[in-house]
Amino acid sequence: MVTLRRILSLSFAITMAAIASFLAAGYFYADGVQWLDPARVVLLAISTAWLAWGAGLALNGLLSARGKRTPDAPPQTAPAVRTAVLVPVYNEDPAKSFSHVAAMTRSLDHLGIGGQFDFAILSDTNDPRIARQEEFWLDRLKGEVGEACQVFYRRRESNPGKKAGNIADFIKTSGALYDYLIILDADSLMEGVTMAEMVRRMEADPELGLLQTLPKVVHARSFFGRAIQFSASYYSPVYAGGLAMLQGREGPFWGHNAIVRTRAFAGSCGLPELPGRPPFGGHILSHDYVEAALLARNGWRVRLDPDLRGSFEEGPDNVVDFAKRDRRWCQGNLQHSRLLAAPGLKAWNRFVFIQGIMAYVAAPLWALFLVASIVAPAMKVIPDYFPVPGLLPVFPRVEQANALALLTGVVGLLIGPKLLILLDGAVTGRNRRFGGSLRCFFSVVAEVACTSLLAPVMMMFQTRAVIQVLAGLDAGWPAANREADRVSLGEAWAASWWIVVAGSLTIGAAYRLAPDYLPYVMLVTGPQLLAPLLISGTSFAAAGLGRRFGLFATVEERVPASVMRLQEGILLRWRSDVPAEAGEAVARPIQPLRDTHTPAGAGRT
Amino acid sequence: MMGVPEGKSRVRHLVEESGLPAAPMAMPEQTLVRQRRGLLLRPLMQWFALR
Repeated sequence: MVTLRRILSLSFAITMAAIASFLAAGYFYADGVQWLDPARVVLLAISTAWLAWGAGLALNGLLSARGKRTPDAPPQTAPAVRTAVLVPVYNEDPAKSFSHVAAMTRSLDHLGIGGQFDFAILSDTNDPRIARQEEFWLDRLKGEVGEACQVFYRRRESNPGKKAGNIADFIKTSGALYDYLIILDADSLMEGVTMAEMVRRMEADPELGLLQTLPKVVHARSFFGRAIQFSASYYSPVYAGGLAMLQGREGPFWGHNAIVRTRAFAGSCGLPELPGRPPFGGHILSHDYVEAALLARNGWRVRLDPDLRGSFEEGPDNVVDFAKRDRRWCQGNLQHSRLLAAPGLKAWNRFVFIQGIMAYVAAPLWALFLVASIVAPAMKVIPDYFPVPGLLPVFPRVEQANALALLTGVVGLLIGPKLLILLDGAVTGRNRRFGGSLRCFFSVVAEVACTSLLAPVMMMFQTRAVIQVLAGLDAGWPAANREADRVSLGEAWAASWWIVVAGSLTIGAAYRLAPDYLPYVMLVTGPQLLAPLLISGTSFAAAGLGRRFGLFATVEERVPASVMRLQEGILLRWRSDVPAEAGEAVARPIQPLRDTHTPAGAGRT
Repeated sequence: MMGVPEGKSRVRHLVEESGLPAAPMAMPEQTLVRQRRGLLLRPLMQWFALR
């Protein structure tokens, strides 16, 4: 059944690409063919296939049964089952990370099962100031947690293997004590009942090596952050449902908010260094996809259960931090090209690597298509209106209908799934949990407008990231910054001036070479000219009218989970009664993107 | 928490006391990159070279 679904989904993507190619060829070839035209058709076909694959996931998700959900009462598991909750931290704000740990221990204690879970804070922090703060906040954390849960803390002086090496170090030191490991991020938060249910599901299926939850983004403050948060809360469960329909035994691992069987993970996921220097050699950066593939290679089942609620994470609150994270992920995903031929991997896992690569290569493909479309008209030969002298002139056909159908199709693949999810929410009553269908409608419209305006800007960031990786530039290991204040116009300009320049040059080229295309080109370059304004403007807190009327309202925002309320209360209390010099939040000014890039080999190892 | 030894700060003692428990588990390194064909052929080439 899974194979059939996979074949149907792939067929849908290929069919959409074929239709796009047919329409594009009709339009591009109408006034004569030159060598750029087939290249444009191929670029459009690949890009359309990628869009259609995403749309196909949403369609699968809408067809999937989304009835199951995490029980409200803790499931019974044998008290002898031991689970470690791993919290890797790296130069993050310790007060915040540790308040998450405190809230999770409380949540488990409330259920009376705290004794079955130990927490291990695995610090890779190499900033001495933050390291001192971690020790200070550890003291507070120890005073906060109940008797039942144990909290361990260790800091590595050097960080071989980065996060994957950090987890491996724990397993090599203490792994034999635990049946399961719940792997989190510094900003992860999970309800006790969810953790208990994850353990129960692992116990119920001895072949299950890894179980991934779908974390919801919470605590976003800016317009951009809340748009992402809404997207993750409203659309992602449907897309994840579609992904789960296709996963078979080879589901995804996203690196956190997941549980692994310690024995399976230890026996399968010892990652080697790849020969050569970064970005393609060295430590495996996007280790999660590889670990999922290795578990599947060794016969373990890897599964995403999108119905598991009570799993949360935080996301970047502005475009600059989003692009920095994207730069790292881009490098990690492109590095997977080295592993496409790794021995013994399941075909689906290889395909997952290709999907990860396409997620970033799609941007330069669209950019190339745009450039080719501007240059192509200038390369056309002047049509011969009188192929037979003396007879009536023959005018070239203009296939405007094809162009319109093509544009509608591409926009449909982009926006159609979101509108279908909105409709599905109205029919099934899901929209009520987001404040009703009217609020959902305005949120979807605002989200589509926001992402449409930012798409050409993100395309440029991703294109640059791909070029940098191909040029051998290593992104290093910048710490995640989820506490950033808003981006000033100056900071936005520093991060995106080159996008404005590129957009201006593109407009100039289109004016000279393809004036007929200028209105279409402006759809892409217009937002690029406004990049600093868009980046800065969307980083402002959306506390005004929009929020009051429930724009981008999510279930978690309307009715916060108990563990979220616990964490917020603990952090507020901690910060209010601590001397400023001891407990000051780790504020990092936003650095221009170029600061995160180091020459190949110079990055941290 | 046990009593803080003399000459050691309370927080430092707490950090040391919070260290991970020792229960090692092996984590063997996996093979991800195929050996180059040249490497596989090398013994054969050496065998020919000897003749």
